[in-house]
Parts: sequence; structure tokens; C-alpha cells
Amino acid sequence: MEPGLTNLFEFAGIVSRFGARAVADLFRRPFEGGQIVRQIAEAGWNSLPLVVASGFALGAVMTLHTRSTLVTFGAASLIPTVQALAFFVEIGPLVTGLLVAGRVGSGIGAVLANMRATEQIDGIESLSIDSFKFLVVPGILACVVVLPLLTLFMDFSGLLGGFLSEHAASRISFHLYIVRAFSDFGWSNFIPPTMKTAVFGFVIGTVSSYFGFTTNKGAQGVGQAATNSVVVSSLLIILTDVILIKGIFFVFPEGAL
Amino acid sequence: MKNKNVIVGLFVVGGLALFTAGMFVIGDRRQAFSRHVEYYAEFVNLAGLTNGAKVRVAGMDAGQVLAIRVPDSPLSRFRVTLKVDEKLRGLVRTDSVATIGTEGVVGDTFLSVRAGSRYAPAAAPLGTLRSKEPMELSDLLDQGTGLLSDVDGTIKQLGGKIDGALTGVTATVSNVNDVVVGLKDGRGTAGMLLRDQALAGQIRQAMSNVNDVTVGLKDGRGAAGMLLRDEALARQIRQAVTHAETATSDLGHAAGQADKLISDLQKRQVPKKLDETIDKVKGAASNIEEGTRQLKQIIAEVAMPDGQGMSAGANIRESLANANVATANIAEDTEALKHNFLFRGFFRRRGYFNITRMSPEKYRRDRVFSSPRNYRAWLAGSELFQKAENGQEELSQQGKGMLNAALTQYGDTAVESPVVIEGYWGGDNPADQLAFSRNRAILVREYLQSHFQLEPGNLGIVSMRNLPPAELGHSKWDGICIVIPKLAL
Amino acid sequence: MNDWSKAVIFDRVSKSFGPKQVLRDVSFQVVAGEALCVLGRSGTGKSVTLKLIISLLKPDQGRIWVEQDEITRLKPHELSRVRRKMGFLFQDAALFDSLTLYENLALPMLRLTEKSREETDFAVDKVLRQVGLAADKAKMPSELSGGMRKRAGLARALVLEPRILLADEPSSGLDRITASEIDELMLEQKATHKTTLIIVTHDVHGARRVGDRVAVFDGGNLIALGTAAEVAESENEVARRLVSEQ
Repeated sequence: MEPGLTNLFEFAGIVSRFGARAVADLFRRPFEGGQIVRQIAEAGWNSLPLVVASGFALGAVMTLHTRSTLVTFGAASLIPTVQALAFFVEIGPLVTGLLVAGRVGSGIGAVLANMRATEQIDGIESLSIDSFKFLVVPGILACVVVLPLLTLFMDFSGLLGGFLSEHAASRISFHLYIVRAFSDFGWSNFIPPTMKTAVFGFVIGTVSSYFGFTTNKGAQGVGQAATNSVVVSSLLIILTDVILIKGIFFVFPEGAL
Repeated sequence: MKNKNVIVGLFVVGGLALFTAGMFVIGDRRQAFSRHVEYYAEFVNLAGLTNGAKVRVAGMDAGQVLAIRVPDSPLSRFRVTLKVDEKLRGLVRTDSVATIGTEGVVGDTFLSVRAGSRYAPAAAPLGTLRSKEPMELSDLLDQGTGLLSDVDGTIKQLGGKIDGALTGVTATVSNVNDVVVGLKDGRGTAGMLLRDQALAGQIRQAMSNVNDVTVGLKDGRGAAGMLLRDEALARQIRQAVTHAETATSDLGHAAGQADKLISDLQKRQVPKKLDETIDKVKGAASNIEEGTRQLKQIIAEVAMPDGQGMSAGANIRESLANANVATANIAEDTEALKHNFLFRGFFRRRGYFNITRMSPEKYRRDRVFSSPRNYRAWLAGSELFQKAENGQEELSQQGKGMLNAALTQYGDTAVESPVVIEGYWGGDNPADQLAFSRNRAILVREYLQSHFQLEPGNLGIVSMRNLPPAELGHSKWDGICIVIPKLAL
Repeated sequence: MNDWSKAVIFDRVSKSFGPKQVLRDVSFQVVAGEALCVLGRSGTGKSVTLKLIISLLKPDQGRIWVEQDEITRLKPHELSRVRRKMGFLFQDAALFDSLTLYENLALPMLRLTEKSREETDFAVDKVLRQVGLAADKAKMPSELSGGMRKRAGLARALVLEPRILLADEPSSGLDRITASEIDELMLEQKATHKTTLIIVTHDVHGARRVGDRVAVFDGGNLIALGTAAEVAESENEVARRLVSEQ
């Protein structure tokens, strides 16, 4: 086998075991409640302005684009529907995933790499605290919990942005906008796409933690871990998305538009 | 630490609130959180209906399709389970009809349940609603276009015909006027009488022309009235026709009087009587002139090209192509028409409608067939039939005579209009009821067809077991009922 | 081999990182209550020795005892008990960035002991007073100066009252005065609590002052072990030079 390919598989194997260990450790005492709260605050609350602002802007911009096309076909009443479907089904989950990979993933990678470089991880181990459980598991769990919630914020702020943009163009009422937006909505357009971001969260948390936790290059490794975290977790999110969408269509055939 | 907890709490609660909001908004659309009633409906063709498709009651979103059971043979139909919001339950009656509709040309298929009538009882939960097979959009467009060009032609034809007839009437009326004026002026009696007799014949002729057309219009035989989409216009025409009718009957009356008058004159010559009658005739004439004018105007309106130079038919056709929403309406209209015997031939040629495919239940509820205004001849089985040597029933001589009498009673109309033969069997065994009532109807059909040389397509049979349609004066029957639907006469 | 008077015993220990061998067949003993200073050039396995003692690293070969436990044979969950006897002062103090000074010190107390909040507060205050940081306990590590961080690191190493204190370059990055303050704190600890000190350092001056004995590493080998005076007289030139520097 090609060395590159071998490395790729080796990497996949190591990261998978890393993630599996995190899942197993999650259910072992002691539960790091404080750490989990801290990480959720960091990954969730601190990402909120970014996510809401991006969602809002994206929603407004998308309506501007769809509007001109749909109006040409006399389907202006479909604008809210298209907006809501696009946001809830794909744009919201994926963009939130990528944003969080950029913000939180790089953060986790950099923080862990820095802790490794400054021997903080050794320090934790020297206190007989399981550093993996103490640092990695809460980070991954926080990503898993936070991503669906952030996705909802993204979805709704996108819808709000879309509404304001459309309201400016056609004076549509908020109520009508909402009614139209969800007129063709099924559960499969809402719950599976939102929940799939938990998987994105797991990917971001695992990959970023892996790069940060296992670096051993000192200060130079910090930047490298941050970059690798973002690049690899973004790529994996998109790949995972493809697989998840296939899976969702398999389970909810009516979700396939 | 406390501060962090508050932040996380805020974040999580905010996110969950959005999730709940989403659940409720979608749930509201899906009516997931309201109480539901379930019904069934059966279809031969699903036209793309899927699980989870919307259900609308009287046009309002009311629920969704829960399940579709696939038939195991062509004999049975798809059984669709639908749930309907309890709030709309009151609209779903035993005579509500479920159809499969399409939102726009490219939209979703949905199940539409028409609100039932006020007097029908509410449909029982888990009951099976009546259903109507969906039509494919392309068929509809073809049909609609064909139908409309037919209508277009008919209207034009009719316009010309009425025009001619009315000109005749007007001419005649002015003739009458001339004559009457002449009479009044006291011209030579002998010549006058001669002229008058010819005139009276003319009037009668013209009148029967008008009568033909107007009666035809009224009965919808010409199809124009029935198909005009514009209700107001149709009403106007109907009104005008009634006008014209009154006018012509006035005129007929007047002509009869003129007839009498002339013979009276020949005998008695009563100037005073004459004067009165002449005034009457004049009144009638001006009356008919008014009616004629209205009628002409309306016909012209209908047939006249619009501002863009399009004929009425072309106009409607184009709007049909544009407004795909209208297809649903047209589907319903054509559906209604299919049940209308007037168009039976029209549709039958296209293979859409066949009375033999109608179930007795459907037949019993059908407004056309169960109408108390239909001509019905109730013939008792004991008189019609006798036992043949092989144990089967056959028509007796007496029965044949009764059938001849029943049919000739309606004269020529019976030959050209559809005739439905309802078979009844008075016994208690349901299997016997089905078999024997059908057998009786078949026997009568064979006889009528061969004896009167009727068109086979015009003779329909229905085996009614022992239950005639409601409110016709017979709760049970044993024998045959020959029905000539009123509309066909 | 299992001697109660010995705090740490290395028996023919070897350790490699990939192709690079950092310790080669090293054996030595540390007597309970003594202060051993480990000298050597950079990258000669000094820090690795400390991490082997507290079992952050495992030797490739050889055995290590900490007091009566052979830590190279202990299972992970048994290690906790042995580690509790040791405090580790890291080179850059290794305080947790995300916790305040107080939380940094309280964390091991709350995690590894059954002590109540009040007892923890008391112990943390006491050790902070000992290192002179009582006023700074609400600060984040990033707000502390280098010397303060070192003292804070020392305080964390001492908060569980260890029997053995491992210090990795306690004076690196500090001026001489601050460095000697740290040395004083460690000596005080040794005097008052009979704590065994194992100190890896470059500071020969400090080593001479603090260390009862001096060990010199070079190229993964232990080349000399003895009092400063003995090593200064050693046959090994590298050892002699290292100890007599400055």
C-alpha cells in the first residue's frame, strides 16, 4: 500500500479510537460537571454572536438572491418556503458546523496544544486526574450538545434575516411569512437535520482534541494543532454530511426533496 | 462558576425554546398537537398520493394521510387512511367525497374532502368516505379544451338559429301589427280574412321555431346553458329564455284567439270584440319584441369576440392553460357532467362513464337517478314474469304488454333518451336479491332492446336488490322500475 | 532493594523516544529526607528522570521504586495513591490557564482528598501564605509574574503535603534573587516537613546550596553522584566542569 494511504488509514484509526475512548470515558465516574459547564459556555455562549450574526446576514442575502429568480417565475410566494427549507435542511446545520469548526475547533486544538506545551497536561496527570477525561471528554461533549442548539439559533436568525429582507421588498407580514415558511415542512425537514449537527459536534470535538492533545512540538505545535483542527474537522464535517444526508433519506424517504 | 452556570443555562434554555418553537410551528402545520378523527377512502388510482400528504376538508388544511394499503389484486382498491382535525369533523358527512388533487401544475398531491350536505349525517370515525377517482392533468386539459370548442360551436350555432327564428318572429309580429292595424282601419273584410288565415299559420310556424330553441336551451340539450362558466350570464340567459317563452306563449294564445276571432268574424262580425283582441295582440307583440331583443343581445354577448378579438371559447381555453388552479374546478365540473345524462353519450364515447359500473349504493344516492321528478313506471314482478320450464324467470305475455305500454307512454322521447331499468327482488336472501334482481333487469333490457330497436348504450340496468332509492313512495319493491331521467326528456 | 529509608530507587532504567535514547541503564537511590540536585546539559534525560519518578512516563527497561511501591508494576488506578505522596513543580509552573490561583490549588485537594470546602480553604490559604501569594488567590495565572507563577506552582506542589517534592528547573527564567527565594522555600519545606527534594536544575550555585548530594547526567548516563565536593573531585571531566562552573 502507498505510504500516504497507510498514513491516512492510520490517522483514521487513531482518531476513531480517540473518539471511542471519549465516548467510553463519558460514562465513567467521575463526571466532570464543572468542566462540561465551562466548555459549553465557551463553545456555545461565546459562539452565539458569530452564529446569530452570520445566520442573519446569510438569511438576508439568500432572500435577495432567491427573490429575483422566483419572482421571474411568478413564484414570489415560495420565497419564505425556500428560505426556511434551505436554512433548516442544509445551510443552517452545515454553516454552523463550519463556523464552530473554525471558532471552537481551533480553540480546542490551540488550548490543548498549549497545555501540552506548558506541561499543564502533565500537571493534571501528576495530580492523578485523568487528563483525557478532564480535558478532552468535556470538550467533545460540549461540542455535541452545543452544535444542535447553535444550529437552531442559526436557522431562526436566518429566517429572521430572510423575513426582514423580504419584508423590505414586499411588505409581507410576519405571520404570513412564518405560515408560508413552514407550509411544506415535515418533521424530517427539521429534526434529523438539526440532530445531525450533534455528529458534526462530535467530529469537531474529537478531531480538534486529538490534534491538541497529542501534539508534542512545544509552542510551534500550538498553531499547527489549531490549523489542523480547523482543516480536518471542516473537511470531515462535509464528508459526514454527505453520509448523514444519505442516511436521513434512507430513514425518512419523504425528506428527499 | 455561578456566572458560567447562568450563561450556560441561558444558552441551553434559549436553544431549547427555539427547538420547541420549531416543533410547534411545524406541528401546527402538521396538526400534530390537535385531536384527530380517522377515516378511510378507497381509490383505484392514487395519482402520486403518498403517506404524510396533506388532507384538506373544504379547502382547509385538516390533517394528513396516515397510511396507504396496497391492494393485492386489481379487484380491490388502495385503501387510504386519513386523519382529520377534530375541529373540521362537522364538515365530513356521509355524502362527503374524497378526491385526490394537485397543488398547481408541479405541486404536491393532496387528498381533498368535500364538505358534505347539511342533511346527511356526520361520517362515522373510521368509516369509509365516498371517493372519486383522480383525473390526470393532461386528460383534463384535453377534455376541457374539447368541451369548450364544442360549447363555442354550439353557442355560435345557437346564436345563428335563434337570430333567424327571432327575425322571423319580429317580421311576423310586425305583419300581425300591419294586419291588425289594417283590421282596425277597416279594410275589406274578405281579403283581410284571407290574409289573416295565412298569417295565423305563419305565426304558429314562427312560434314553434322559437319554442324549439327556447325549450332546448332550458333543458340544456344544447349544452350552452349548462357549460357557461359564468353563473350570472347563465342565469341571465335562463331568465331571457323564460321571458321569450312567456312572450311566445302569449303570442300563441293571441294567435289562437286570432284564429277564433277570424271564425267569429266570419259568423258574427263584432267590431268591439275585434278591437279588444287587436289590442291584446299588440301587447303580446311588443312583449315578444322585448324578450327577443334581450335574448339576441345575450346570445350576441356570449358569442361575441372580446376586446382582443378572441372568441369566448378561445378565451376560456387560454385562461384554462394559464390558471392551473382552475383544473381542479373543471375536474369537479366535468365530474358533475359525467353524472348528467345529457353528456352521457359525449363521455361514453370517450370511455369515461358507464352506468353498469355504478354500484347500487352509488346509484341510490345519485341525485340524477333518485330525483322524484324522473318518469318512473313501477311494474310488479308477479305480473311481469313467469316461471319458465327450466325454473328460471322469463317475461310473460302480460309483462311484455305492460312494458310496451310503459314505454310508449312517453312516445318518441323514450326512443332517443336513456332508459334505466331497475331490477328488484322481494325475497330475503341477499345473494338471491343480487342475482335475481339483476337477472330481471337483464331480461327487460333484452326485450326492450329487441322490441323497440333501442340503442344498447341507452339502456342501463341496475340491480337494486329490494330497496328503491329513498323518498319515491316505495320502501321496498319486487319487480321492475323503468326510469327515464327527467333531464333527458 | 526494598529499603524503607530510601525515597526513590532507580534500578537499571532505560528510556528512549523513538531512535533517541535519553536514559541508558541508570541506577541510583535517593535517601528519604535528603535533597538531591540533578545537573547536566540540556537534553540529557534529567527531566525525563523526574517524569519517570511520578510515572508520567514509563521506562522501557528497569524498575523504579517510590518508597515501598514498585511503580513500574502498578496499575493505573493504584498509581494515584503513590502520586499523592509526591508534589511536582513544573518548569513553567504549569498552572491551569482556565482556573484562578485558588482553584488551581483547590483542585487537587478536592479531587484527591475527602477534605471539606472549609478544610480546603484553610489548607490553600496556609500554603499560599507560605509562598507569599495570599493576596493573589483570585487572580488568573496569566496575571502573575514569572516568579509569582513559580511560587504558585510550588504552592500547588506542596498543598497536599507531599513526602517527596520533584522540581523541574525551579530557577529557570528567574533572576538570581527570585531563584534563591524559591530555593529558600524548598529548603524550608525540607526542614519543617522532612520532605525529600529531587531538583533538576542548571543552577550550580543553587544546587550546591540546596543539594545534600548532586547527580550529574550526560548523554543518558549517570556520570557522577555524590556531594558537591565529591563530584568536584570526580574523575569525570564533564562532571567536574559542570559542578565547578561559575
